[in-house]
Amino acid sequence: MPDQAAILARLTSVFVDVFDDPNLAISRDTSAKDVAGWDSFAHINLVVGIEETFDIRFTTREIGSFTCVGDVLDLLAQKTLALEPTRAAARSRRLHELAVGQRADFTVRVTLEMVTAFAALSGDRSPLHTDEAFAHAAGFDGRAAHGLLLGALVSRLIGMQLPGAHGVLQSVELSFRRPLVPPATVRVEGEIAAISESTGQVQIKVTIVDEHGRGILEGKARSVLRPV
Amino acid sequence: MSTATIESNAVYEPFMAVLRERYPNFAALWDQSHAQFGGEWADGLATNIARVFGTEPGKNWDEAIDGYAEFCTEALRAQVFFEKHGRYQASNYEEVAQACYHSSDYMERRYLPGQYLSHFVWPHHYRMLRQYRTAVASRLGRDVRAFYEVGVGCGMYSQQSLAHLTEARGTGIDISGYALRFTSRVVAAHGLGDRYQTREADIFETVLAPADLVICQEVLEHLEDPARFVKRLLDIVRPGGWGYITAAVNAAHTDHIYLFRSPAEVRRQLLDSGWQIETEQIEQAYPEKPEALRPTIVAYLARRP
Repeated sequence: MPDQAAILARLTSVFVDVFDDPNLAISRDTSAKDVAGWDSFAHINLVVGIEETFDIRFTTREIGSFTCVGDVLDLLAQKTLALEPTRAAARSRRLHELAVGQRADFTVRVTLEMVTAFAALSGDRSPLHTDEAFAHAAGFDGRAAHGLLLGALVSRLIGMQLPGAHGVLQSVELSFRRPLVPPATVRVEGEIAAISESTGQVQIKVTIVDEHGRGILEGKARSVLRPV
Repeated sequence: MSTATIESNAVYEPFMAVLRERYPNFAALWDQSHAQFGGEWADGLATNIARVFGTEPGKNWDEAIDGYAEFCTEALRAQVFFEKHGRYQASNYEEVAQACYHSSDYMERRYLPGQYLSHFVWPHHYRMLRQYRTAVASRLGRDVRAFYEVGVGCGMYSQQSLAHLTEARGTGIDISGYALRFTSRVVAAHGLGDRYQTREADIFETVLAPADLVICQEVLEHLEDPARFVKRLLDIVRPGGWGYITAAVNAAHTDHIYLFRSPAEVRRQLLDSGWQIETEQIEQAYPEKPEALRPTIVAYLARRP
């Protein structure tokens, strides 16, 4: 559980920087009307400062709706709690700590913004992913997420959780069971299917299911862990 | 064209209620502009919302409001980057074109609805628009039979030109089919479509008969070589014809590339290209900021000798 006092102290330092006031004190109730100069520009300066300090990213809805320090603290609690387990996992899990049947999972909201960003990043701007009308004409409910955007979530699972930081990805095989049309919440799950003590290779069965429990993706990944 | 305006309360307040519920922080600027510009502003904005996004809450309003919030957030994030680094984040036109102008999600859901509303809601944008309507279009009046708008964006200036240059036929030119589609929708929604056509084209690769007026509204900062562009604009206007050319100065956005550091730099490019400047209008956001960091728009009414 993140330390609320420590979060408030780090948050205060962001406010002090943005408003250039070393004596600025904030509490949960502090809002724009209490701080001279908290206009729309300062608001985004705060957003960027908080994002950099806490290594998180606010959505536009969050930026447009937090009106006091308490709102920010609540958002930070949600976001840093979501990050903590994966950070911890990414630091641990040597070969001897792994066992067949061990599982890990996380839930993530796949958004159209992610599809747009992935199209820009990969150069795959197929109209199935970028053109609503085309996707509809092709029989989809809307712009479909790239299969390998979902593959990137598998990368996150392997790199951050199972086996985590000490593994090096060797191969991935993926089968796409049904298209995913964002926005949609998916659960990414992994289970260790086999471990080779001699080679340090770990085989992980991966699945992605949507919020209705329907299978979106199945596959397996191999990751190799060096002995300590 | 229908001239009836829509009673602002019938649309404006319900629209604001949705905005306030979703994005209370962004609603504050709407209230400030309403207080500053009064009932005429609210009626005009309500009319535009009603015609382009409909009169009832629903998917179109949601998209317009989300688009506006995204547009503002992107602009402000880009401005924070500019303040920190002294430059715009983007520098390559092709990359920006692919990520923005040729992306339906970016253009149709975020950029164009957001930009359309910003022309009313952002005070410096609104002052510019009002001046175009009351001083520029009224001055040019019947002198304009044919105009081009190059880089139509959301179509607000094509719409205003058709509404106030009542003898004119217009052609909107843009490299983004999405911008042209949105503009056609805007123009048709105001009952002005019969005097308007669009062309998806690059003005350097297209033969264009000289028009009486070329409008180029906040396009130059999106280019790597705006000086070459303003020279080309001169070519597509008849001798004695008009140019209404504006540019963003020290004002960042995701797709702004060329950093004009002062209105004088824009003025110099126009003069060097052969334009004669008739009027200049400078509008600023955040006037309390030092000049080098103050988002500014400059508009020139210019003439081809």
